[in-house]
Amino acid sequence: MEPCLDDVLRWDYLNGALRGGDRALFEEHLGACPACRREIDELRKTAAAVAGLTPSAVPAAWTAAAKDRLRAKALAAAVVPSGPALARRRTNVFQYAAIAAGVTGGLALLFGLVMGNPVRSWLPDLSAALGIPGPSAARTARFVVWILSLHALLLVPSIIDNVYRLVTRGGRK
Amino acid sequence: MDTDRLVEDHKKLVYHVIHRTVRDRAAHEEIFQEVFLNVLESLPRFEGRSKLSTWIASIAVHTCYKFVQKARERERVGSFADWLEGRPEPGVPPDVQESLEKGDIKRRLEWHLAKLPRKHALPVTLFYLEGMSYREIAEILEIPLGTVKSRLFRGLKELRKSIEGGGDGTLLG
Repeated sequence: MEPCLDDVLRWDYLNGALRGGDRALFEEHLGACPACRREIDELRKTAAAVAGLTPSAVPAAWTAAAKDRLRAKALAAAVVPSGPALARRRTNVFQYAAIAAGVTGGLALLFGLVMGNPVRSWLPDLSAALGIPGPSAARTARFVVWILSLHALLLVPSIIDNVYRLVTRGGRK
Repeated sequence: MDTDRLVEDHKKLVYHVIHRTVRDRAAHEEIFQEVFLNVLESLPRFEGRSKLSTWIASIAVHTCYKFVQKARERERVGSFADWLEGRPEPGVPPDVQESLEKGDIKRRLEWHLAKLPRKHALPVTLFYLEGMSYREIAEILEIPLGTVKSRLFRGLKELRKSIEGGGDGTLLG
């Protein structure tokens, strides 16, 4: 048999959460429907019985074991890394520093080469090889290479910063 | 982090969730420890958007779900929602049922409650025994607020039916 009223409505009425016109309508229905009236009455008793249940006692041995395991785990997590772990972290720092130094040096060398005599004398030849006509075109090509090198150099602080962040984040773990 | 306090403050909640969702009593202690270890492990990710107890109950329910999934890997447990639809398994051994004294109202009521499908037993337990709000239950079971109310109502009805069917009508007066 289909229920006369919605579950949520009946639950709200059972818990005193139905008010005003909705409550009046509900009670009007209860007055005319013995099945709904009986159901609400029975469920009120069931709810009272369940509400009277006291929470079960947790076995003391379970609690003690859980506390011991959590304490041990928390302690293990708090221990400062020593020996191999620390040495590994130090090696990583040196590796990152070496990479940063290498990148910086390489870019500085490129910049020096572009701005220095060897490349100044070499660029026109390169321009000729590439079929760039005349000294003004060669000057333009040199200028473009110079700008690109400068941009690459400007990236160096960002690279070093990222490496530093990577290393310090690893150090906090 | 005071791990002893964490266990002490939430042991009953975790115990209730395990009892309502996993029938295999031999596994209860292991799951109890597992829940608290999972809580400790996930604690750095707790953002405080809900109450700590709500968050812990949610971890407890999911730990139970994963435990049943693992224990019954040959059978299909289905999704979290499917699992909530089911009843705790395996069934209570007959000797346990027989040993329940008719006069032990609390234990008999607990027994009837434990027979309900998880989707009904959990909201009833969290509402009546843990005093949780509809919103908290909705968050733990990942269902809408209206569904919580309707499951509470259906839970009481099923409980009533089980009590009367088991010849325990006197429990409700």
